[in-house]
Amino acid sequence: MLQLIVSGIANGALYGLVAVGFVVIYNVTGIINFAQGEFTTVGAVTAVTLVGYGVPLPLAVLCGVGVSGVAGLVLWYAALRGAHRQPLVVQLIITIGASVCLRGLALLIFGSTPKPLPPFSNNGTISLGAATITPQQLWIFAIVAVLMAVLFVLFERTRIGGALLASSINRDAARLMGIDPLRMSAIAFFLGAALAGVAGTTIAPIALVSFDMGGSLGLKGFVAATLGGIGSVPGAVVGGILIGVIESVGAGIFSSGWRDAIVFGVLIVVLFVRPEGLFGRSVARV
Amino acid sequence: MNRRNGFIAVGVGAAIVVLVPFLHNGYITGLMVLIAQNAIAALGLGLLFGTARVVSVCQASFVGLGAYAAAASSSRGLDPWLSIVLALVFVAVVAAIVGWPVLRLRGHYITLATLALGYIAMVVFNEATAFTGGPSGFGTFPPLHFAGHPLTGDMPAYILGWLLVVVCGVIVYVIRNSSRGRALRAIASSETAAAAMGVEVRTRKLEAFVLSAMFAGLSGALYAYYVGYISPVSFSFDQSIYFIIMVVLGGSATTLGPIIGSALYSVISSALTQLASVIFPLSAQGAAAALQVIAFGAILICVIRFLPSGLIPAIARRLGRSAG
Repeated sequence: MLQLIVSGIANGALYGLVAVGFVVIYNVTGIINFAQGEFTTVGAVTAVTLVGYGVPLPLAVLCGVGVSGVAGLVLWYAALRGAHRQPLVVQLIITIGASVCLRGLALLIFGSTPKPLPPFSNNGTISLGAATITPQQLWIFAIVAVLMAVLFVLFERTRIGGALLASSINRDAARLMGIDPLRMSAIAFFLGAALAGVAGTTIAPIALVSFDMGGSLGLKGFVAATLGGIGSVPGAVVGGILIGVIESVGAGIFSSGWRDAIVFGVLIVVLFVRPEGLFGRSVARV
Repeated sequence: MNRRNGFIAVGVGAAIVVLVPFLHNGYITGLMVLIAQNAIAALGLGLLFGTARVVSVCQASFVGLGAYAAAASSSRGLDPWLSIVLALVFVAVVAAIVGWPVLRLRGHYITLATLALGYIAMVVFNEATAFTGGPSGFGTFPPLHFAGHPLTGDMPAYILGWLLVVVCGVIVYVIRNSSRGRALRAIASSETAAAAMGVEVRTRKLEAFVLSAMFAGLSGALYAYYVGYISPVSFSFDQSIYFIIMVVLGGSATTLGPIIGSALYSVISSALTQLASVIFPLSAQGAAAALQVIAFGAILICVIRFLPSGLIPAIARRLGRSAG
């Protein structure tokens, strides 16, 4: 049981990262990015492919994260920027199209056979009472903790973070202050996609990398963001960890084939019982 | 599309549907059967998207639900026609139960919730092996029959499919031009304003959602009896996206749009298959499938970005301009 909870927290922390990327993009641009999960695929596929060509692992992982971020920029500049005055539903369908495109590209480049990425440091386990922790899980905790600290400093202490925050609070007022919302949107897409890339490459040694891994990963990120209250960064992390634990314990109790159904069932229940999430403010209902 | 163009389009479409069987080309007839079956599901989605601007990405799941419900009950001895009716009732009940919490949400959130529904449906199709045969599917159910004869092959499916396209098309047309249709369009422009004017937002959306799911279920049941074998692959997330592509391609502002979109989708899809076999002559089917997926993603982005009202209305406008 304790074991299930530990591995649930580790996976959940990564769902939280995907969710934070989701929230950053949503807050700044107002777009719910359907292709968020595919950015995790982009990162993981890039890393595995580079390792296959003999590139050292740390460099490959960094490249994976970078390529994810660039993919986010490309999505923004190629498809969404020109449509930013269109109705939200148009932007939504554009991100759906982008997710399909990216998945097809991953299939073309990577093939349909799942492949592993080596763990970030050598195997062996650390026992912790009744549970054991793998080094990769320690890496996850460290990476997520560091990234959260970095994000905190970014948003609270730097000019660019302040500008991002300003345009997510009130876009028109931000523009009056000389902040270019379109540039902020580009940065948000880069940041959001790169965070997804971190999640994709970090989870890769635990789960296998496949061209369609992003689908359920992205959706779990969304469930985490909803659970935490969409728009809240700390809520997204807590939501992610909760989802990870529910999923892990649920799969332990029922069979693992039902794992995804449990998570998405939670989403439906949350939407029904408390649509504003755990930390969100109450939203107008109809 | 104005009234005159609409009549012309219906006339041309009807002529094509009547004349195609006389070509005696098995490939084209089979393609037309699938176009009809897809069109029924796309009509439902088109109603939901065209009026209420709700984007549902689990249409293929309801298609699958209808297919499995009909196949599972007729394999247990129920008459196939009654099985279709039972499947429709079942799909309607499921859609109402899941739609109630989901449609409380707005815009984007509805779409992501339907994505989750699609994943859940996929898990159920794969894991509830007693009813679905699991990942490898099942085909042990009898075909439809008429006056003691089994209805197998292309022609019965062709006639039945296009008859039902007409029936569903008329239903959608009537709803679009009724007070319900106006209420849904009001919801699309502002839920708050619509609610203030006395529109029961959630009930109206739920009605459209359930009807759309029932059309999908009908499409699925027809597909099951036509192909005689069903497995979860046919009802995947990609397939749900293809239904959206049909609606966006044909245009969601009219009843005819999704039907035309279904035809365009099939034509493009077979053209892409041909193209892929030229580009990748020897090698893997995987690459060809990937090419198809990439192309459809790009088509979806380009059409919604540059021709948001769809391909056909854009062409009709251009023709109208050059003629006038």
